[in-house]
Amino acid sequence: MRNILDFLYRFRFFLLFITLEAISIVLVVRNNGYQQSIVLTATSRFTGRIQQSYERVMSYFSLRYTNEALMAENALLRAQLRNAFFEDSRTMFYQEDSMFMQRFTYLPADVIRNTASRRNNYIVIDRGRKHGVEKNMGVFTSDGVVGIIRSVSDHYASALSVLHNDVRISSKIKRNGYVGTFRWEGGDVSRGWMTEVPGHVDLQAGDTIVTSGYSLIFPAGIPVGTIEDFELKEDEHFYKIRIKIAVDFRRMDHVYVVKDLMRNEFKELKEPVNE
Amino acid sequence: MNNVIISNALRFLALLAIQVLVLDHIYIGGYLNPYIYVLFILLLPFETPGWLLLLSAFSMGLSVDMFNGTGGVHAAAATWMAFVRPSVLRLISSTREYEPGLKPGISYLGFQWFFSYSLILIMLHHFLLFLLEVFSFRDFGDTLLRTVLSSALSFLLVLVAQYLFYRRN
Repeated sequence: MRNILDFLYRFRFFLLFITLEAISIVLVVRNNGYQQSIVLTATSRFTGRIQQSYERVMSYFSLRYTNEALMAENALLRAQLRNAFFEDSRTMFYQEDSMFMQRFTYLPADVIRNTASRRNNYIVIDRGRKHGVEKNMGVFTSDGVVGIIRSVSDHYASALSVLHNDVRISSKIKRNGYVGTFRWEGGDVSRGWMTEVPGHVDLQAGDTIVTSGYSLIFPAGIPVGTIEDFELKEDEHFYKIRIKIAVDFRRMDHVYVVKDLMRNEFKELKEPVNE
Repeated sequence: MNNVIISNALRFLALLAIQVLVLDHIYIGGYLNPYIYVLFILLLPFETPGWLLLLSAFSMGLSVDMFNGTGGVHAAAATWMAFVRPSVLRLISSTREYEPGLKPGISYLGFQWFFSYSLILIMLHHFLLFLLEVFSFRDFGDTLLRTVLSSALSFLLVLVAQYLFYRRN
């Protein structure tokens, strides 16, 4: 017994080191499973409040940019109002309710925590379970796709940013509709890659890439980025396309969370195929 | 003695605030993240007992983690840095004894000493940090590159802080 205590005492520095490292690693691993703990740690009551007041101050600095973005969006929405259209077919408007069913709903939210400097980046927003946010909902701004909700607490939710190893966005080339997969591969936060576009497709630098709508997360047509460059290796059948990401992840204040009201219906259709 | 504790506690808070409120919001090229909070561990007095060294580094790392939502990567890296600090000190002190009252800083031990002392420790810290952040040996070259570039930046900040605040008297 004495010897054991002696041993413990002699190596107390090392043992304490091992203990503290073990605690840290457990925290890392638990966090890497990115389930609840991201929200719990990033938005625990104390740090959450400090972050929020920080964001409140910092949001003033991007007011100009935010205003421009809102103006642009207002203009876009105005163009979709009924009075912006020439009423060509009178019957159409009267049948609107029974012809069109709401599929997507949108919830505005403020970003209270956003990283862009890591290999795997997250966004925390100030809307959570109480506001109807659920796992796997899409997040975007008026500029384009931002991320996918990963975990939700009562008042906050955290999303995997597009700048995350595990995020792939099913997207298509707006001009001709060919579908591929968009993914960020580290490094520059404004460049990503699109793959799985077959080699016979006609591509042009500057083509817009939008979401395909196949994923049950985003509606079709939300901007992802624009083609900057592409190459087709000799013995390969698919392009490797360099994309300039539409969203500037270094300044982001207001986002929308999109909910697909028919998600469950689609999932029911999909499930038997998977089995 | 009380004085030492208070000044280190104040340094803890000040560096933590600078780290999480300013530096964590700076993005340079997707690769460079400066971490000034390591200065706290660098500047702990020589006579700090081992357990206190480890615990204060751990709590510094954990605080940064809590603000960043990164689990325990900073805690692990900071504890590791505190663990190797005595060995690094032994490694580079061959010419001069650490007398009581001497503090680890440029003004006490000179530029050359401080250069090797802080650069070695910062590199060790950043390497573990970025490795844990990716949590795999994939993209290892990328991790190394981030370690080198970010270490250089952190080191530069540490030097600036030294010349700004720690002139002798």
